[in-house]
Amino acid sequence: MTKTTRRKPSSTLLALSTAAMALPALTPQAHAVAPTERTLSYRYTQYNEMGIDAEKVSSINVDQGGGSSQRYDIDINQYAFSTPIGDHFSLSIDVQDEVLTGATPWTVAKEDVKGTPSDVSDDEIKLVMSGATIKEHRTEANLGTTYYYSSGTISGNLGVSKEDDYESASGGLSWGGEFDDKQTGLAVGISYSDDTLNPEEGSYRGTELESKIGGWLNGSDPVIGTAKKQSTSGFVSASRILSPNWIMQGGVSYTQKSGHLSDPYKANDKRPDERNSYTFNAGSRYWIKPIKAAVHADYRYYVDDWGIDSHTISLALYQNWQKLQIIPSLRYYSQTSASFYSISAWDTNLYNYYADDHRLSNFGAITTGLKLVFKQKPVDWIISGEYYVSGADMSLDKADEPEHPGLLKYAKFTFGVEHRF
Amino acid sequence: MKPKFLSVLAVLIAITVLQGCTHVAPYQRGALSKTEMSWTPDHQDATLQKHIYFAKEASSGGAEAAGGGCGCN
Amino acid sequence: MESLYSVAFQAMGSPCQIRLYAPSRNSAQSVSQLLINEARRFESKFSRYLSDSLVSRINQSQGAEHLLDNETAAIINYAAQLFEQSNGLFDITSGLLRRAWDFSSAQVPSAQTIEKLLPFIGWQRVSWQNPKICLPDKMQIDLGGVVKEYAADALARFAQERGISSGLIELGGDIRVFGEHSWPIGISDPRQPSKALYQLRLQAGGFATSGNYQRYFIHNGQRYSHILNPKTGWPMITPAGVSVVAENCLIAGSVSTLALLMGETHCLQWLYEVGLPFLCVFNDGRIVNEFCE
Repeated sequence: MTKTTRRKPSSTLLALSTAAMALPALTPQAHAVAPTERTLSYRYTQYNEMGIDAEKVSSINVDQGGGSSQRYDIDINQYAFSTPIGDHFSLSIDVQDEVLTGATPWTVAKEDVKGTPSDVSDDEIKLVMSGATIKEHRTEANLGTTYYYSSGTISGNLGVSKEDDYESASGGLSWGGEFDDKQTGLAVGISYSDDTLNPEEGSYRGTELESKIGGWLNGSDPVIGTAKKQSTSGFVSASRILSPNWIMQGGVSYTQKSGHLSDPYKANDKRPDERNSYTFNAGSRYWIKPIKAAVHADYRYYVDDWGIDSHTISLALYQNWQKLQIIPSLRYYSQTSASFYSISAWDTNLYNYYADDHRLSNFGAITTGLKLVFKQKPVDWIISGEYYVSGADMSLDKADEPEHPGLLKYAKFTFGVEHRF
Repeated sequence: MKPKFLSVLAVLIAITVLQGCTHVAPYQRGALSKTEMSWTPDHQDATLQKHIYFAKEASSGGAEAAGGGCGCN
Repeated sequence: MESLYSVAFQAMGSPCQIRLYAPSRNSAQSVSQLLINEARRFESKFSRYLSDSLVSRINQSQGAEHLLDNETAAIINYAAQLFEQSNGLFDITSGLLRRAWDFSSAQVPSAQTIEKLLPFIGWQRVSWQNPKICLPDKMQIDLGGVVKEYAADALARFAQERGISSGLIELGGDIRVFGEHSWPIGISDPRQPSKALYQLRLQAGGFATSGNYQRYFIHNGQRYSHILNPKTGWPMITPAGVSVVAENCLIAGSVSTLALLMGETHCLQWLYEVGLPFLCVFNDGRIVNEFCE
């Protein structure tokens, strides 16, 4: 280990370095700034949510085309291409294509719908499910470009996402710079998205279910024709090299969402039309030289004005072993419920806002993953698997309501190949 | 929970400040320049990951460029 | 799995070695051969001992103008920068003084002999308009003080461009390492070169040592180093040895050389100003080690 005594480069060193840079072998290597390689990359991912125990599915609608105990299965194809353009620009194109099939929870009901919420006990709560007839196709494309100059980068991106019932257009701009002999990095960025909802298929509307349970529904936040929502966000982050083997970063972000934020596919769901959220995050990358492994640790705190706050901790080890990289990972997530969330939303018509969406409930989740990368220059082969399990008892906070039966378990398997040229 | 979170943050800041005076010269940054030491070594993986958590959990966002929405939430 | 392959060879009048991490012996051998060829190319282009080298042709130009190629022009320009940064103490035209100072015969030349040479020494007398050089008649240049260091960097880049991710290039004590591995580098005691003073680990950077122990003689109890002051023509009182670590070998070599030229009294202050890690050994055996924690 060596140390340096300097605080800033001396004029002598600066003069010598500048003159040395004119020498062919000492010109800064181009990939130190802009990438010099093109990459072409493909991923296939199978995402499968575990079915729900039949006894947790409401019998109300079994004969009405709903009542599936299946949930979503998604097949995802991802394509990416990036290339340098000249010495100072790079361009990237990302396309993601998903086919989703399965069923989704419409609402939560007690088998005895006349019961009062205070009596609700765990085993009486049932999910009112749609039929397993939903089929969605989503295609997303993103175009990004980065300009590299001596002490920083400027990036811009544009994206579109299309589904039968949803469209989104988004754009972002960010800047990154390095200071203090490139030991400190700063980044700021803004992004915007404009979304249009046009819900049709998969809705309980128009099914026999609507007439059957309509009597006790609180009513929802109907989308007449189409609805809009917008999202605006900004972030600031800073990173710092702490040692030859250690770098850390921290950042803050703010997002404002407005428009139709209710879920059009829920029977009992009426949310505020604005949501302001903040995140605070910290990350660390540490290189363990003796075992040639990189340790990733990331933490995020999220808080919004819907009453939700959450903690996310992610850990991963990038272990190199000959031509193989083995990456075990672990993620823990815990959120509190939204202030207007209730498992018995059907009985909360006294309030302006209500939702019985399990995603707004109090729960915790653990993801465990293992990824293998075979580096067979110039091609990398990638396989990975992940298992996600969530539950109310995994939350950091004790819930005052029974667990939502819709809380999810899923498995995800990815195969990928990446070519650099 | 919040006090715990704040104390973790305080420790991280303290470490950062204490280490602040170490100078790591460019030629000592070999390890730091490895792909596996970057913030997102696999951006396709990260994109999908973010998309799924956005659809299945109530929190989203972070100190990075945000993408567009989808009809999944 | 990549393994370490080493090859030793002789170039530029010094023992050299190449150590590479490569997937197979074959690939290591073929790249090493290319690197040795490249080292020989530097030697045949820049050696002042080879009569058909570019440097010899410039030296024999008798005042004619030479248009230089990119590489040579950048090296000369770098040397001009060293001249400026050292207030004229680093001078590629000072080689002529070796005619007066014969370190093998341990003879102190007469003041007159030296005086006669001084009008032909001094970079300020050379017309240098990058990339055109015009050397006054009888003057000579010697790029020995920069080429070996630069060649170590050039060989390292050359290896990387041919797919070697990690390795070490040593050309007569001037070292450049690249890639993820760190390498143990021993610094020998200037007074007893077989004895190691300190061992450091170097990763992705350059290392060089300059010292007065390499060539000197003692006459009437006075230690005459081979470091000559181009302004006076006389040997200087320098520290015994200075080792420096820098981003590349060329900078490490230049800083260690300039530190020596700053003389025993000023070198420490100058080294601290430059701010690179260094180890300095004085003639009385005193060591200032700014490598260790």
